Amino acid sequence: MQTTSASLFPEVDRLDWSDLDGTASRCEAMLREIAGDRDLMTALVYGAPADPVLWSKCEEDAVEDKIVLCDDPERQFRLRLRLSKQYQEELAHQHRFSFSTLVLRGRYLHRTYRVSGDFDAGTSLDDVVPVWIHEDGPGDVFTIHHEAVHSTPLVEAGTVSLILRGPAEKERAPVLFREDRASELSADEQAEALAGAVPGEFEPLEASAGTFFWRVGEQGESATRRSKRQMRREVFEQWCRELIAMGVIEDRLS
Amino acid sequence: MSSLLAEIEHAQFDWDDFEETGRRTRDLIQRIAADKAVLADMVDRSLNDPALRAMAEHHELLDYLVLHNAPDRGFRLRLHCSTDVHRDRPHDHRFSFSSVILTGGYRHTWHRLDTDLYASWSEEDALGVMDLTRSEPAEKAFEVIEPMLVRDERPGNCYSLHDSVIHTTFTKPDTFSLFLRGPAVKSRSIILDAETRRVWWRFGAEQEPAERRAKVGLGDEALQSVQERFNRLVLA
Repeated sequence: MQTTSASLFPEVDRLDWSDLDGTASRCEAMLREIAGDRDLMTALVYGAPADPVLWSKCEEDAVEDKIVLCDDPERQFRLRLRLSKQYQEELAHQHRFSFSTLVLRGRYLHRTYRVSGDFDAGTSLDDVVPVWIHEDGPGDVFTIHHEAVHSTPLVEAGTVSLILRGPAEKERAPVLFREDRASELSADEQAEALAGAVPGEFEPLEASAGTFFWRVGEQGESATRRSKRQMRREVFEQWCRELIAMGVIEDRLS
Repeated sequence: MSSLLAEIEHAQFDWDDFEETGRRTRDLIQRIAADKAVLADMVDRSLNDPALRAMAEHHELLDYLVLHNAPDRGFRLRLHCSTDVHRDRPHDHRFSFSSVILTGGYRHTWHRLDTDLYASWSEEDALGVMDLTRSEPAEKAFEVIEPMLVRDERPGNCYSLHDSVIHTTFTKPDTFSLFLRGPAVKSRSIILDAETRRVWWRFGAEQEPAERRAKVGLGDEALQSVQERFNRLVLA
């Protein structure tokens, strides 16, 4: 069974992300309803690879993967799962869009920062100071403006969040490493994994604290890079097994 | 004395390191929150120790008891209790703090304000506007205040907040929380009303006139009411 975006929340018309407060309440209710409905989650997750548009947005990245469950540009929302696959470092960043998120599994420290001056390649570590540190855990929901600078390092592999995002408000979003990232890959292997990436506009596999880069949307990526990031079927099935074990979806793999 | 009470008697915090002190204070208040015997003991002491009892305060949105006061060791621990008035009222603090929600909860919003009110209001001007009734719809106020992060805080939620943040804690009924504050790092803090665009200011007790001190004091009846609610909602 495939669940189309139109059948999700027919009573919800266009989300107004310029009214963050009002949208926060609506998104929180939507996220809790979706997460609490195992049949719906099951249909959405297994529906992703069956829909070419959604599947093309399902990605693997340096430290986390995403499965896109629903995309409704008319009503200004896209629903996806954020799935962490290894320890994540503290990366202070903005997003290209405002969004709401519900933590399904795992705990992490959510930091919000005050930034001195513009946040760009000229920003140094001392310019970015944490001012709100929140212990996020399962059941927590927050809604954040695309200009807020924060970090949500999912330090436990297998941490899963459900995200409802709005439309992109800018072409690229700034990111600053606040701790070092090591990689077991050789320089050649890293270059191969990052083939097609635009300098300064990809998430490095290895970096020192203070390293800055831009996150871009799929339109800003080359075809080579997109194909590198396309989620593989076996990775999707591995995540399905994790979600089955968590009780989020039913087992329809066999 | 329990080992946790003994730990509180000796704990020391350096708020210049917000990250590390945030971590340590969140750890401490979560352990206090989980120990109802210690909580009950601290509330009893707060009501029976004349110095602590005199520090309890009543405000429009919130009453609080002081459970432990250690200015020489960098902290003061308070028990916050919502009143029957629940409003969206952005404010900052004169100090950084950590808090854990015990019962109830609140809509917690981090705001961005377009104006540096500390620059546009002199301390002298601010001293004249210590409550809403003296606040004028002023040309000195702000243009835009907007939410940057919104979340529902629920029992068990725990966080640390820096003194520079303007936030709102729009409470639900019967909200209790533990609140561990550091030393004041500025003489005043902002409160504002987003709808009427009025701004007023809070100062430390030593700068408040006697008239205001008398107004914010918690009388015997009010203290008993806080304890009764605490017993019923937190200890039960």
